[in-house]
Amino acid sequence: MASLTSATRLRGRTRAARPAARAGATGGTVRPQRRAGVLLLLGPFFVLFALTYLAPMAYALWLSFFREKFEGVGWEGPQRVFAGFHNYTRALTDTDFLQGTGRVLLYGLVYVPVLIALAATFALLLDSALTAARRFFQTVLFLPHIVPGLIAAIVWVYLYTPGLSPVIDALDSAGVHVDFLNGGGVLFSLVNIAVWQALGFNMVLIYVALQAIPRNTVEAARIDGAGEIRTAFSVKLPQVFPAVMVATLFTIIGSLQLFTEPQIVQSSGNSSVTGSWTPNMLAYSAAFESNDYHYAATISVLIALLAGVLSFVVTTLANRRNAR
Amino acid sequence: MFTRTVAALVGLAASLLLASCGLSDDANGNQPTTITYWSWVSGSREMVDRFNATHDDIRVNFELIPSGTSGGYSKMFNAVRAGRAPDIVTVEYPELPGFVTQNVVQPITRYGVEELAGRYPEWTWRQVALGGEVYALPKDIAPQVLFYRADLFEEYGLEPPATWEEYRAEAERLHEEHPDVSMTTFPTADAGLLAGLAWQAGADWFDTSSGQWRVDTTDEATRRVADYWDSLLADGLVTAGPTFAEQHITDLEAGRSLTLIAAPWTAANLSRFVPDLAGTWGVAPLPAWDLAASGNYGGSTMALPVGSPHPEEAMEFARWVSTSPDAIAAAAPVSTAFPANADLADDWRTAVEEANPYTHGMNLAAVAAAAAPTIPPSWEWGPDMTDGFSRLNDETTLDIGLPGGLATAFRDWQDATVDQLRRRGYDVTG
Amino acid sequence: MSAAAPATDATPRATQGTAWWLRRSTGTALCAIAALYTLAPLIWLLFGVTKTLPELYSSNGFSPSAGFHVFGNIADLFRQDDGVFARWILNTAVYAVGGAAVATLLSVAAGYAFDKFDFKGREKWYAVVIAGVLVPHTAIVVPLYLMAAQVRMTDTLWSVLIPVMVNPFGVYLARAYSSGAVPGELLEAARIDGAGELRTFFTVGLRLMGPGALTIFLFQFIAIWNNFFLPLVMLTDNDLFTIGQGLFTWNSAVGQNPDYTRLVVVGSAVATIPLILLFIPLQRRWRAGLAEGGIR
Repeated sequence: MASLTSATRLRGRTRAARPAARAGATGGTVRPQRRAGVLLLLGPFFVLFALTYLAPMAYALWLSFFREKFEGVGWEGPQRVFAGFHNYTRALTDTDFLQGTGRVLLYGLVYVPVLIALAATFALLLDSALTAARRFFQTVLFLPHIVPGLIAAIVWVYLYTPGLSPVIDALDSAGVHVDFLNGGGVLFSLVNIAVWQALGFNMVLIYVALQAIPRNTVEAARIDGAGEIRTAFSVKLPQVFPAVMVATLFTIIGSLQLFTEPQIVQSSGNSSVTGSWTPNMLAYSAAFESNDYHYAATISVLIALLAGVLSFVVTTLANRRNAR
Repeated sequence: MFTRTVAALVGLAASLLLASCGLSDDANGNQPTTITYWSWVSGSREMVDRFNATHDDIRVNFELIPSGTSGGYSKMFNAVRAGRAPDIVTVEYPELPGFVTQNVVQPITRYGVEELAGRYPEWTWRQVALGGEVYALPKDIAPQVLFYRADLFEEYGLEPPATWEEYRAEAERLHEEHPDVSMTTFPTADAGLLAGLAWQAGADWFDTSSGQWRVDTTDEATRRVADYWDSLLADGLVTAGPTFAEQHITDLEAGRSLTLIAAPWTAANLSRFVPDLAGTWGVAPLPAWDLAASGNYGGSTMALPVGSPHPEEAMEFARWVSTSPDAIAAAAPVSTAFPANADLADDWRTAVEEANPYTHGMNLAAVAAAAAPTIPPSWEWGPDMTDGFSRLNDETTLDIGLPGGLATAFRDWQDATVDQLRRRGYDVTG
Repeated sequence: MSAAAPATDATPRATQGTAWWLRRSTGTALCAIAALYTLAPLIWLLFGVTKTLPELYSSNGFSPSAGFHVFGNIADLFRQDDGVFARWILNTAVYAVGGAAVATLLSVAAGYAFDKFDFKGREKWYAVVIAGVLVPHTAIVVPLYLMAAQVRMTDTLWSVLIPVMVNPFGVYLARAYSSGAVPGELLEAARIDGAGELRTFFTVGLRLMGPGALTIFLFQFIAIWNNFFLPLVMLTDNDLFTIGQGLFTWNSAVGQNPDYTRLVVVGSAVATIPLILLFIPLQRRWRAGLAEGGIR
């Protein structure tokens, strides 16, 4: 897993040498047959990659420099005109966009540490001798990952809805009144749905890395008199740092995509979540409710940009720590 | 072994693909023209079935889509943009101007629909005739009326209020005598209802008479409505909450929420959500401000999307929906939406009374028919009401119940709307 | 973890017996709590299937129905809107199986090529792929839709299938897996025997990368099964919908017909439970593939 974080460094100037074995790479001159082989093996992937990743981004960039203009009342329909940076200044002064971005960042700030801490904790627990029935727990905790995100959101929204929810009934009878769908609490309700879904997956990611630690390293620590818990934190955790970083990176990117859960919460009709609650929802409603394609494209570009910046920061930090 | 697995998977995928393609290929000989109709309005399916049973030359294929603002309109935008438009679609009055400026629907004037103009209330026709062309045929309208619990009104010694002043007075009395009973549940996020109330009070939120857009949602009439409800909410005379949600339904059943500012279509909703309350409802004209007037709260039109494959046949179907007593009769068992076509009001009364026992004794038909022509005709809708309504809903959800909440919501909404329309490239004054 | 005090670590071995048991039961209890949290919504869903609409609202969510309405509910589910739900299941299966199969093959081929061939600009190309991993999917979908609309491709099977045939993370996994599982000598031997590169890949490389490929396949399968945004944006034809999109449509029609609540609950269960049962046995292999590929 180390190589993903270090490979991302390649985007920068530093060209990290891949320590992994290049078993088949013989180097030297490449025979024509080999070149054809590379082309045939990589070609299909890159054609589709260009079509579904590079082209849309380029197209979005292009669209973001145009806008629509209406004559008079506009019964004649829109005309497309060059807009320069209009759409970008519009986005950066659009309170919906700014608040949405703020919300997503806040959401990530809660979600990412909580998820990673829980995932690491349970991975360590299941890797240690501290837990019985480890296989069972692994399987059970992984289950929500298989539940489609939309269904997870629907079920949780039911569990958040007064009248339908046994949770709220139970809390009510205990004298605690919680509104899961309104106000500040809604952010945590959404974090909960996401944690529920992603916990098992990230746990497995870290657990798999833990299992790969040579057992004699762990044994050595134990002979030195370290208990399970100290071994976990001072021996095991540093060894799986790359896996934890990969999980973190994916989780950060995942949190930027926040759409399905708030969309379901919003469409439940009794929530303070609005139709432009996250940048993705704003892009969606711009494109499909307001038919405002240029603005939607602009927001997509900005989301991708934000992802780039965040990934860069995280990988840089991770690599710096790795280098130590 | 692995290659075999992959081969098996690819094979499975391919056969599934073939199977799913095969399913959609219905044989289509030189039988009647099949047209596709997209709607979510209840009763549409029944109308289509009746139409198909009585017509040989055209077959209508009904497709249920999500309701307009929860995805239906997006779907239409998508389809038109992709060149896969259905033949005919449902568009609500508020969204029609936006559909015109976005080139999603096309003029239907050339199908000779202007001869029908006189059959609809003036305001209705003005909302489908935009910029010198007709863009849709009105299907149903929703003159606002007051649903009240006749049984409890009698028990508590209340009368259906004729004016908003009386409404407030009765709410006060009720609050004193029965503090746990509320006059109504005022919806926290129902921009359509607020628009209807402002409309009744004489507001004109949008105006195109100057040749560009003018937006005014903070005029005197709207402020009057906002202040009125703000004070009722502040004094605890009405509760605020989402309507037809759990709490509201429980309150209705328990007799804790006595009236509903509603429209004829509400009757069918009530019959579905609170069937046990059959026979307890009465319908009265919406309480008035100065003169007897009503607002409109819903309704829909039949519009022809750009790229409709069979416009002639689609228009024939639309005309049938908008003018045939048969259509009204077909929808009556499931829908109580009031016909836009005034000629059909009597057919509607008979059909609904016969098919829907829940409406018995409500006096719905007479009240609705009287209210329809009193709706002010000058009201116009803006060019992006999907966005507009969702913003207004967001604002009211945020502000309702706070002191001056609705007034604040309208003020914020005014600024946001003007701003948003300008950003979209519309000419806006005011 | 805070429940187990780190101070106990310092205790001498002799007394570790009881402490060890204490910690073990704490650890197990923590996992049990997590398992309960994980299972509760699924149990609620399972009980929901047994219920009528009023029961969904009135009865305790974590107990079954007084009557037993499973078969009636499932029959209603498949009868609603002319049996469109079966169609949605089929569509979702086509997208997920077809998309994941192609994505796996392409990823494995690309990962293998990156690992086994030395060519000009290899690491640069690879960096482009890895950058693709970091682009949020949702930021791509709206532009992708706009492109598809330009060429009138939206609302087709292909508009949802083609985008999910690409998985940059799969290439990453495949490259890592290839370098561990495919010895270069074997390829040399095949080449000396005169096999072409493509043939070598299919007969030697792909075969050895089987477990890794299964991991990538399951990865992508779940990703597609989970994907709500892409079909939501691309598809308008009810007959092409995925389960998620269909349930979303029903869920937003609850305002018109409250009975959709019941159908959404039943439909969610029907869409989820078989998948879970199917996945439990595969899950271990998935993990094994991840282990061999990712970490050495």
